[in-house]
Amino acid sequence: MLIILAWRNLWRNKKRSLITISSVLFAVFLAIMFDSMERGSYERMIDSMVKYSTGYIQIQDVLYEEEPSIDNSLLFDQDIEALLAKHADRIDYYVPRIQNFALAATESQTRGSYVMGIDPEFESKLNDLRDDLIEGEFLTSNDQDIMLADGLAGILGVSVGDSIVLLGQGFQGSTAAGLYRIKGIVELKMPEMSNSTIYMSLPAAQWFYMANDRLTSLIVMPRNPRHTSQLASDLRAGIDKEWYAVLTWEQMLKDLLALMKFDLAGSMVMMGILYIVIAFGLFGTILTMMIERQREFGMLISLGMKRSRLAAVVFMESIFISLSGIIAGIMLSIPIVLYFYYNPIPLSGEMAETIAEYGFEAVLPFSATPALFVKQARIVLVLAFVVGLYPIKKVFQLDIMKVKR
Amino acid sequence: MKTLLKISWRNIWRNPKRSLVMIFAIIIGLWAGIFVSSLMFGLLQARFETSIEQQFSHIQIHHPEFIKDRQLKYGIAQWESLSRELASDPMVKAFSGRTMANGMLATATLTRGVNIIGVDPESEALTIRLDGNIIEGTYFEEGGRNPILVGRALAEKTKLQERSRLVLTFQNLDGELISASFRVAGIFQTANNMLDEMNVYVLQSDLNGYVGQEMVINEIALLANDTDRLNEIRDTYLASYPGLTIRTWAELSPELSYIQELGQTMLLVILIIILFALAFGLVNTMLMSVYERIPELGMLMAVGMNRRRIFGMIMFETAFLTFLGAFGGMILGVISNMITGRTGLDLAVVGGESLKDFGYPTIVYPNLGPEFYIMLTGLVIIMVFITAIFPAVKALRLKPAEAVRKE
Amino acid sequence: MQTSFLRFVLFLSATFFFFFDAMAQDPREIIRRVEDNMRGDASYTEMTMTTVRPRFTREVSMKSWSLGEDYALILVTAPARDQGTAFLKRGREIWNFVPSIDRTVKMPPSMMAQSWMGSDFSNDDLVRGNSTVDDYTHRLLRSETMNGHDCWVLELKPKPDTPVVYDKVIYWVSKQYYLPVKVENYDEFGDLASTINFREIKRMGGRDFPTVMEVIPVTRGEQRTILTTTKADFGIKLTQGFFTLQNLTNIR
Repeated sequence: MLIILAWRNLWRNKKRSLITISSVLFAVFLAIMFDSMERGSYERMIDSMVKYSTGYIQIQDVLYEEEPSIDNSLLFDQDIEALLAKHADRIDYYVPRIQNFALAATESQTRGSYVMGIDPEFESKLNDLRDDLIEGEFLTSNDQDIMLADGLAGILGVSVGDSIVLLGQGFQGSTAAGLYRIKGIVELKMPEMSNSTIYMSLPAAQWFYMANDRLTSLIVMPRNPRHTSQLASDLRAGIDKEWYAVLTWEQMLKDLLALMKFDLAGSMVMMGILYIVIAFGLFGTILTMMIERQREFGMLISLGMKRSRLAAVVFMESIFISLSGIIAGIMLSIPIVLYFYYNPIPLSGEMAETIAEYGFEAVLPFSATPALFVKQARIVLVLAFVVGLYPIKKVFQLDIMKVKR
Repeated sequence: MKTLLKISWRNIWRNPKRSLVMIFAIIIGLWAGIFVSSLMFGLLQARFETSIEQQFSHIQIHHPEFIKDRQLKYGIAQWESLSRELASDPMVKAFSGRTMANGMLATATLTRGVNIIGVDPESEALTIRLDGNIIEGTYFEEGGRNPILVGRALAEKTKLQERSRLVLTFQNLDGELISASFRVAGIFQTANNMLDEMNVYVLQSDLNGYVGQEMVINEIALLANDTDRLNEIRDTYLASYPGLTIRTWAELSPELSYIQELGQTMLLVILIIILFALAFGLVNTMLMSVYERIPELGMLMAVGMNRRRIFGMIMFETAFLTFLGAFGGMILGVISNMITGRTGLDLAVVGGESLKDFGYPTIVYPNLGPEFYIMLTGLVIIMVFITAIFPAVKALRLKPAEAVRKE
Repeated sequence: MQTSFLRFVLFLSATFFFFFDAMAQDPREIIRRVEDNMRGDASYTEMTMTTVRPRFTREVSMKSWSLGEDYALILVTAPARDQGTAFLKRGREIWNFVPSIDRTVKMPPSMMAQSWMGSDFSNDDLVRGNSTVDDYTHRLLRSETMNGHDCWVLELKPKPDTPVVYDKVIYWVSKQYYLPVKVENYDEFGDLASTINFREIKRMGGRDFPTVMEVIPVTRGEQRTILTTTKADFGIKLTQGFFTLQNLTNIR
């Protein structure tokens, strides 16, 4: 009964209600846009790191994290295969890798380098290495030739068709040595990587390091990234913990995340301010509304309506207004956010060039996680709630006598 | 005109509560916006200054090959003449030549790769203030054989302390391996933990003694007196020494300039958003106020007040409210900046420790460049104008006859 | 962890020992005699190096020719995969010949700290020689029995110029043979960094010397390297001309 009253009251004064609703709408819209932008950059960076570096989940030898050496490589045996098969419904694909230090030598030069043994097929599912090929051909899965990063090729003064010697320490102290022909050159964005990386096919690298069936890391990519922790713990449960460890990207990127958290905290503050501003705006509107209806309220009360009932009605009115505003705000922002999600704002000028140099796309990304919308809605609702308390107080304090104009 | 102003002014105070709420909202919003922007700006500036001060300086000079492959042999052959020129150049505030070798640092427990930087203590102190960053021990002040300065991050990992003994191994100009023992004279800490782990400082004379016959200088860093003329300075020297690579900090660290630009853009965006939100609230309130007074306005119009005057009255009301709020907000902002700007805020308290890893100092001095205040004022004025228009226009469109009868 | 030890190469070229008047108590003198014993002229030895790690144990066999401190040629004879690999040391430079690719590679400085063939010796250990007589100050602490030998116990401290990471070395010298029995290396905090045991003094190729040398770095897990000499010839005639890059590839 009261609800109907409240609802009708709203539409009695259409303009006023609309104005208030639009105030809330605007607030929600702004908050969502802001949050979306913040998260967009955050998500993109994580995405990059995951794609190019850590993957979502990694299976490693239990000692590898502390001491990343070839001796601490994991054995990719039937048990692991069985484990992966068991959870195949949740795993999108996996990427095996073996990485280690080696000396690269030409006739005239010797240089420390980093060998990455990859399976080109699986690796391509993870990132766009194939697109970075600038000369020659890409590795095949059983290739005996190698690919060099452009920086290293330049330093050694070699190119496609040349051969270089690779020398290093293999598994359990054996000597790793081989002469390899360069099949292709890959352009890597980050200078440290470009000056030192060599790509080999997985079998060739395993042979080189005398590490048959061994990997330094096995990246597992879940079908739904949201289920990462769940999948990781399931894998952990099925694995021999004496030999293996299962790590998630959060563990592997701890430091980066810590920094981002701090960054996020900064923007939280920013948003807090936005909310305060919005709250005040909302408050002002409600206040005006109250003042305007003082006579009406005074009349109702003197006619016998209980104050508590009036208060309830008024409260519900403000809830309705807020809800309408929130829903409208969300509905307005969804298409806009989605648009920018698929078409992020391109940056230009020097800024864009710099970003591109580091391998990132020069855009201002937006996030479209549903949680985003829900979170904002909730906050604004709470705000509206708090602001809505004021009219209640007012109703109880109303002095009927003074109100007559 | 004057009466109009007076009437508008009085109108505002007819409903003190509402007006105050509005003004208050603007004050708070603006002040908070200024504060946060200043914080961010201060952070940006701090990062910038620290990077310049402790790492890049304004301009660096190298042998072109040294940039790709940091080997001792790629020295600046023209060091003598160049240093004389730099010393007598009024645009150059300070400069320092460094000998740089890659090597290994060994203690009883660990061996690590390091950048060995041989410096002349005096000129280095003027250029990157290494002496100010010493947290333990001294800055090459004591006598003693082969003193070395190590960064705190490195000292922690290798358990080094003042007076610890360590062995540096590196290649001399002939490609031979040299090992020599050094004693830790001091431990330094800059804002950049990553660099602190990699760089160790020794006396240039000591290093060159091991390295070969003559003195090799691989890097020259300089500070200029006027930061706006860096390109000019660079070009001047490039003309005289075309074989060398001379770069300004912007070229040395594109990411630094990127962050600067990005930061400033973001600040502006934030301020705009906040102002926008405020404006909206203001428009709403004013609209309400107009509606509330429809009968009254109608009366005024019927009685003969011309529309233009009404328009003006509403405009002024809005303007007053906004200006009061904006003024208050800005004053608060300036005051809070003055206070925090002097003492600084320590961000480590709110979890900013990890900032050090990425080159940010943890103590920040909020401030806002003067351009921002000007821009802000401009924005506020625009905002006032825009917000005032709507309600005023609304008032204009009223039909007196209807209005008077409106409830 | 790589450890620095006293004379890896010297060990390869042990020379005559002198019976000596047991009354020589001057620590410097003692050390000098030990060093004389360990320093050599030419020598040829066959050895097995066992690397012990928590997860595995590996054995490598080799033949070694050396001249003084500055020249050495090592040929790996087992296991099969490493057979034919050879190392040449001249002064402070090392070259590595790998037969499978028929290439000789010079060891760059960045590799010097890396372990040699997976053992607890680093490449740097192979080439660096510090004179225990000249580069350290010596003090006689006491006499005691260690590993079945009656020994002098000496404390050696490196002089400021000496590029050695240890702050202190405790040295057990057999009174009978003037050969090292045990060496303990300490860091500046007084913590033990590594221990070297010299065992099984035998007469081989005309000399007495410890045929087993065991290096134990202080780490968490089971980790050490044991060098066992199975054959030695100290009468061999070698000149500098033997230690060439050509021979590096030709040696069998």
